[in-house]
Amino acid sequence: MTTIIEARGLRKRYGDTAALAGIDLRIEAGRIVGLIGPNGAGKTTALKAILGLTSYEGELKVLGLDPRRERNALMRDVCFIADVAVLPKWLRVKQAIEYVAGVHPKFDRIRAEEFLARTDIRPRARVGELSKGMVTQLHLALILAIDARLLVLDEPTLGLDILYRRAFYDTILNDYFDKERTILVTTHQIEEIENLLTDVIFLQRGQVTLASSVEGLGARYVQVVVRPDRVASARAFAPFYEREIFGQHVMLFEGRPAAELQGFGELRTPSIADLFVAKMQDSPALPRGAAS
Amino acid sequence: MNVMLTLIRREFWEHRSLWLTPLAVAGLLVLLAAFGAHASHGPRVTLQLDGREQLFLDSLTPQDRSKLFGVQIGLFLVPQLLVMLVTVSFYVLDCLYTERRDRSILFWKSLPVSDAETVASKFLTAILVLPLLAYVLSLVTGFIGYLLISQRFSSTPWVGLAQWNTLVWLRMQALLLADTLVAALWYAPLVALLLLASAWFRRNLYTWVLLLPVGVAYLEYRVFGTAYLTHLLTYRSVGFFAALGLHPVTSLGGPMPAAADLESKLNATGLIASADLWLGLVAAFAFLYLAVRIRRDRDDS
Repeated sequence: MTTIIEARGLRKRYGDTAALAGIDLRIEAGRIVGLIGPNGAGKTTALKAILGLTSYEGELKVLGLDPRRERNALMRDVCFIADVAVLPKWLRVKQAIEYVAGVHPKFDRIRAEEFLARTDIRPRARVGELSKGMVTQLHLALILAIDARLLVLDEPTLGLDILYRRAFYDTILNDYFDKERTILVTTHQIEEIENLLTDVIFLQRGQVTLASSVEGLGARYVQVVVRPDRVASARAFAPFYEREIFGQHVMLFEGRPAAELQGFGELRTPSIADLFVAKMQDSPALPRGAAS
Repeated sequence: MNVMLTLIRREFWEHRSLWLTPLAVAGLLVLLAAFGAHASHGPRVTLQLDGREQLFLDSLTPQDRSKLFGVQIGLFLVPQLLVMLVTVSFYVLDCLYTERRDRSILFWKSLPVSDAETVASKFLTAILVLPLLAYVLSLVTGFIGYLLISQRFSSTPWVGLAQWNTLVWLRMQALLLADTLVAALWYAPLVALLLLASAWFRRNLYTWVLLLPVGVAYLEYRVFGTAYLTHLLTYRSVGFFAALGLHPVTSLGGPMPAAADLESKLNATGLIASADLWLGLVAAFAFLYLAVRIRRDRDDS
């Protein structure tokens, strides 16, 4: 397997705050990795470091290159959508295609034009005249036509309605993703992407609190809807998270064999969203809220 | 090289004033030439000169006539260059500033274009592409202007003033092209400095660019009683026109240079031999280097 991104002790400080407090990452080819964390956890900083947009300390190799010194070469094989706001308003659709065709050796102009032909976007329109959803479609058309090895998406569907969001990810999966390519995505809308991720990385206050393949999660974490009479005995097995909904106690266990927990109630594999909330509630800085 | 062409085209897409303004100036010049030709044909001029025109025309040597012709042609470049100084200043100040304000820098940086290439494309647009555009437009408008004037003069005694002279035309064009390129080299440090300002300031760019030099010059005057900065900036701004013998301040109100020595006056190629021009270029490269570093290293988008 080829390693696409490898980081060791990646650090970045903004003044007194550590945006990245020394993280280790290893992302292999052909994976769809969700980088998930609350606001200010360091997701965007990590992506910026990976894209060579910011300085950092520690070791970082992306596609075997140093993103800081070799950003130019790296960008031939990396595509990047930050969020919908970055395409300039004055740019016309056909100029955007013209431009990328002019500067990117791996851009397939026909493919981009075919994709756009399936949308309502007129080639003469300026970005400023398009709706947010259309701007994303345009950006996507440009990105899909680039034969890149790594696609980085930072909150790509921010501010879009559900139809565009769904279409966005469907297009990425159907028209873009294959075993040669790797996608790294951050988003707040975990539910929406959790079915397409192969790997998750949780970031919390500049540190990795969880890094696992999605299959691995099932083996490591168990969610139990505990029967009311077994709550006390289930607690003895030290769940790392517990919440009560409609009188039902839901507990999350880490590293416990299913057999041990079988008697307490119904066993499930927790969703990534559940795990995320649980892991974040672990943090003393956040209100514990519903957690017992 | 293809990448550089694309980058330069991009500049014209974003800053439409870069080609609209010189075109507008060219259109205006043609209109003025048409109107001027018409007016000079009117009775008032004839009355004023009252038959003395033949005397005046007879006094002109063939050399004088060819020089008048050259001046006619050359005068179409000067307004273009003056207007362009303004357009270029605004363009250069804007180009690295706005991409951060609207965050489009993230899009530009998501493509395999280095910071050096980006800054170079903006610098080349300002210093080479735009002056050449102004030159080509002045060549075309000069020719149209000549046609208009000569047609109006054709049935008057003034016909002798608008005689086509291919040799003079070619010499004039070569001279104006050389002047344009020398002007580009002369203004390179100022353009690079404005590019640096465009990359440097995070907000209130225009306030900084206007107030900083004034403030520093004032401080210099208060503390040291000197005015080196003022002199330096003035010299770098008007030095080219001074070399042309058209100092914008001293020639105001003064007598116009005689037609006979205008052609030699219009020659600024002597600046090439001046150490100041080359020192300026060294400074320009230093400013550009800093602008590239700032665009690469600064992370405020």
